[in-house]
Amino acid sequence: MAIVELENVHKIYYLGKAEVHALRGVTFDIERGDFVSIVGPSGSGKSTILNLIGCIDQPTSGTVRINGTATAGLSDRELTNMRHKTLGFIFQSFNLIPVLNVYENIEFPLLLGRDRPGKKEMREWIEYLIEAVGLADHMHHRSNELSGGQRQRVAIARALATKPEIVLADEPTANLDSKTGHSILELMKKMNAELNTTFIFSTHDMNIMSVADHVIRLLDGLVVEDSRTKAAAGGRP
Amino acid sequence: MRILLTIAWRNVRQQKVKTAIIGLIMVIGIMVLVVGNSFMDTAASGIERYYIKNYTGHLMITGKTKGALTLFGFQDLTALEQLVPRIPDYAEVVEFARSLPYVEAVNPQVSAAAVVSRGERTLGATQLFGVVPDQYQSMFPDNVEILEGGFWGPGEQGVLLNKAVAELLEQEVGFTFRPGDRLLFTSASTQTGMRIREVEITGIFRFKQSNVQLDMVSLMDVSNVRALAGMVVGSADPAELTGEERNLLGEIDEENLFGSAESLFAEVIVEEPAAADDDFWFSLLEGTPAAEEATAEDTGAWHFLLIRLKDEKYLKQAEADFASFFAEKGIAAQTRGWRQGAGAMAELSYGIKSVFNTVVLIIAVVAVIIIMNTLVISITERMSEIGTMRAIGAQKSFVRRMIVLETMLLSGISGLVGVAAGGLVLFILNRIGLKATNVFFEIIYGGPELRPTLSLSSVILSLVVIVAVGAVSSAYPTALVMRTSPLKAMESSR
Repeated sequence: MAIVELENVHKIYYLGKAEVHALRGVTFDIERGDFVSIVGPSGSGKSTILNLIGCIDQPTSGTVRINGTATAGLSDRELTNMRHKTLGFIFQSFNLIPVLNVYENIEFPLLLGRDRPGKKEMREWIEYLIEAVGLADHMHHRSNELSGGQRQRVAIARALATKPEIVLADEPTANLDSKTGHSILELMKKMNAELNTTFIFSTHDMNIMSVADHVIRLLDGLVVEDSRTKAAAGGRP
Repeated sequence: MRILLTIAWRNVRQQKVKTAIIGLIMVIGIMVLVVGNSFMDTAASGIERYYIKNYTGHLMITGKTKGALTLFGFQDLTALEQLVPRIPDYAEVVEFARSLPYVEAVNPQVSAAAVVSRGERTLGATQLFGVVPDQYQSMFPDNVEILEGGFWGPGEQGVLLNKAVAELLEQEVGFTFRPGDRLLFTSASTQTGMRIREVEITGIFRFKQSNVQLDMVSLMDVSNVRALAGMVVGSADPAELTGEERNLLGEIDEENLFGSAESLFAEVIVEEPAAADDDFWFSLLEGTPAAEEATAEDTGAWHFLLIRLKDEKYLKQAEADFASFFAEKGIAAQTRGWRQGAGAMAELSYGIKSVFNTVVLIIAVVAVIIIMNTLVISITERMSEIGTMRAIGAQKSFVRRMIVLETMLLSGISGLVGVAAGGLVLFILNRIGLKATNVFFEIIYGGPELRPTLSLSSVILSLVVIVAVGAVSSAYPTALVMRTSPLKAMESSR
């Protein structure tokens, strides 16, 4: 069963009296454990799709389903719960909470829910994540004391903290040099393999999309290519 | 909660400019509030303590009236038209008062205002309290400092002249008044006409704790004050005549009657024009039983019965007991609190406090607006951060609590610093003492000097105000955030 389903999704933004058609009937599925790259030039609709899957925006028409649940009609509280439990976010500008250190930033999403893990279990999991992203020596540093690559590693660890089924990454390497960007992608790939977490990231860098096993190419709000290389993904080619 | 506190505390520390602006406003505002309210509380409690202890007691019983009746008479527009009512059935009332176990002392008083003159020269005016020395001193043992002479003796008449009044009079005559000197006291009202009494000064005194109003008060024997207040058994009221008497009068030629009266009294009127008062007319009846009745003092007539309780906690009970007693006996009397009895000065002090509180309210509103604007700017700067929190699973309630907590933390710290600063200012003011340099400050201070102390009520009020200011200030910025979707909030980071 697809973990993400988009069915004839349209998204129109209204800028004054003008209508901007960001998506013009997008349909695709993403399977559990996919490492998906959504590619396309600026304005093709990549970020809009991530916003819709991330439950921080709603389609003008069409259906978005996450784990079989249509996001349309859910209350703000239900959408927030879904974002908290099912989704993780990695942002282009890292978006760490500036007053918190590395450990606290990763811990933050774990403290938001009611059903938190025990203190010991939480600490061990956070320390595992910090170790996994290679920041054990920077655990108590704040974001302004870290490089761009280090910040994005913290963001990856934070996105994985609640053990979400899907991690959304909006151009995660855009603000990084190519070497660091490559290492970040490697890290995401590693976590994808270790935790079987579905990663969906947008990019317009053609070199980066080669790492993905499922590529969705967009142009002017339409899917122009939906290709899979992962044998286990099944379904469409 | 821990993460909320951590974020709130670190944001307060990190956003130095915002913290400095809001903090400074709050510290100054709270300091002004604490100092001002403590100042007013000290003055008010001083006024209350001194008035109850020295002038009014806890309660004042008077005849029933709707006017603003004080120990100084009516203090409203009816003052000239309305006579201070006497307490009906005084003997019963005072007996009941003395029977109450929580009543410590009672003191009856009459009151009149009089112009003071010597010979034909008007020197000034004084308010007169007609008192019985023993009872007065028993009720208020510490309020009078005798400077010369003393009270009049039992069964005697006299006036104990206030030093402040004496000094005013002395400026006119150019010499110092001494016990044994005599002064003319004249009162006038539309109800009783003009009344004059010549009274000997038995002493000069001053009230130990006084103000501009009390500086005008001299103490006089009850008999003379009653006369000046028109409280005599007989009066100039129209006589009730029988039909036969009216017929008899009808036969009299009025022109002849008044013609003969003029010729009969012409010389007297020319020589003593000022004496055309009750005393003058009563003098015409001299030697007759009617004259005796008409000029007889109404010894049971009192304007006020002042009551000091053993403890202030009995105040409500006393008011209720007297109300029941008056209702049961059908006595047209009422109780009034010390503030009503004290009159304009005490009321003015409380009025000034109200003005101060209004000023504080205006300051609070201005503070709220400034703090709110600062918070809006701060929140706008942090939209991306808040959007991120919402995106990764923070509910609206979490964000709301975070903003309110930040504001409250800042308000709380500023409030405590403000209270501490206010306490320090009050400590210094208490040590140096504030002298009243003019009448205005004397009214505010409730006396010639004020040593303000930090009052608990002002601290509590300050904390309530700071919480309210914090809550109101954060309401709009919070609403602003709540209306913003996580997407909009995050777009700023793209």
